Formats: sequence, structure tokens, C-alpha cells
Amino acid sequence: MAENKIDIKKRIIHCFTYHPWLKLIALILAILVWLYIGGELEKFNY
Amino acid sequence: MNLPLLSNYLSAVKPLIEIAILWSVIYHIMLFFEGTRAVHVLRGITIILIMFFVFQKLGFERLDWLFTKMFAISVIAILIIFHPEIRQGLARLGQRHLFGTILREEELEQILREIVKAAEGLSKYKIGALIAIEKEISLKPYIESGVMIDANVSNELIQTIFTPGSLLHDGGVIIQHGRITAAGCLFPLTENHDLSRIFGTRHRAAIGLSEETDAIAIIMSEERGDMSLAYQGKLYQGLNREELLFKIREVIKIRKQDGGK
Repeated sequence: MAENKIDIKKRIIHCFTYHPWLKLIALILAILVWLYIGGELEKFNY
Repeated sequence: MNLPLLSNYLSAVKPLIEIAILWSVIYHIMLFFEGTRAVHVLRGITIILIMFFVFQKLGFERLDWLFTKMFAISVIAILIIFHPEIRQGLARLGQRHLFGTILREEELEQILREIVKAAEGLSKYKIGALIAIEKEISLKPYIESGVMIDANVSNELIQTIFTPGSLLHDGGVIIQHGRITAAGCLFPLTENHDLSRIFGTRHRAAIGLSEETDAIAIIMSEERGDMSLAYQGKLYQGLNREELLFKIREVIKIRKQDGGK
């Protein structure tokens, strides 16, 4: 079947090769946002 | 079961899950803006956010105050500057199903009519063309080989793209989620040696794509001026307008039936 040709290995490789920089920047931003929100929550004693 | 151990484990994993969700959301927002003019502004905002965070951590009170105020104003500025993009994005979100686009019956019919009308127009003047319609398997790897467009499907636009001399007339057009996503895309050629020699690269690319994915590929021959359709490695050639429309509808119906299972 045509669908079987796109196997899991290819999909995983594609995950790493598709926009790697965008993923890295998004990860850095996510960590920053998480730390910032953590700080804000601590500040207001939520 | 050791409950305190489990709760310790959960509290250790929770931040990772939170960061992973945030990562996914931020990545998809960035991916949405990739290739548009908004991406430059997004980069600027990212730099401002990082600086804002660094200043806050270093305890630079005045700079922190300045960036906090700037950030509040920039939210309003973003809403005004990116009003068209935000509106377009929200409209697309409304159309999009969780795992793809579920177009309304009449929208789908309208799109198919536009494609068939364009195919007929192109074949009448013996203009070669290749149109791929995405189904379940994503055509993103092939979109990257072409030029992003993101426009409504219209007979006029398709014909303009394939007009000889146009910079995008070589390669194929990709229709994804009911929109023309890219043009000038390169598709894989079929390895099928049984294919008649009368078929050129365009037909081989269409069959190759239909072998690799579940996309529907419509081909207009520049030598014979006929319309063909490739699906799951099979070529249905010499179709007239009604036959082409019928075949596309039939193939799309297969998806609906598969989805319903």
C-alpha cells in the first residue's frame, strides 16, 4: 500500500529535520515563558 | 502501590509536560507565521522577550519597567499590524478539523469545479500542468521544494500559474486544506518501467506522487492536450470534463468512507 511507504522511521527523521531551528527557538521560548510564569505565580503567592 | 512515590514522580514530570505543551503551542504559532512578513516581527518580539527576561533576572529595575510597558503596548500594536493575518488564521482555524480540514460539501464542490474548469482551459490550449490535491498524507515535504502561495482555489489563478513563461509554470501546484498552498513543487518520479514512453516527466511525477502518498494528481498534457488523473499509482488518462469531475469525486468519497470506518 502507498501509505505503508511513509514509515515510522521516516516520520521520526522528518520530525528532526523539519524546521530544526524553529523548534529550538520555540523550545527556548517555552522554557523562558515557563520560568517567567513560575516567577509571577510565586510573586503573587498563587 | 506506593502513593507518595507516585506523587513525587508526578511532580517531577509535571514541569516537563507543561514545557512540552508550551513548546508545541509556540512552535505551531511560529510555524503558522513562517514564510509570511509576520515572521520578521515575530523574531523581533522573541528578542525583546528574551531581553525582558534577562533584565528581570539581573534585577535591572528601570529596564524591566521600560520593557514591561513596551510589551503591553506591543500587544495592541500586534493586533493592529497583523489584523489581516490574524483574521485569516482564525478563519482557517474555524475550517480546520483536529486532524485536517473538513470542508463543507458546497465548498468542496466549488473547489472541484474551479480545478476542473482550469484543467479544461489548460488542456484546450495544450498547456502542460500538474495539480496535486492532498488527502490524508501530508504533502509538506513537497511544498518545501516549491514556492508558498496560500490562496483561494480559482480557475484563473491555476491557469495563470501554468501559463508558459510564468516563473512557476514548471513543477506542480499543491492544493491543501481547500487552498492553493504552493506552486512550482517537485514530485518524485515513478520507477514503473511498464509505463508507456509517450508519458513524459509530468505524468511520471504525478504517478510517483500518487505512489508515495494518497494525493490525487491531475495532469494536463502539453503534447496531446488531454486530461489525466493519477491515484494510488494508477493513471486514468484521456478524461473529459465530466469524467474528471466524476473521478475526483469518487476518489474523495473513498476518503470519506475510510474516515467513517
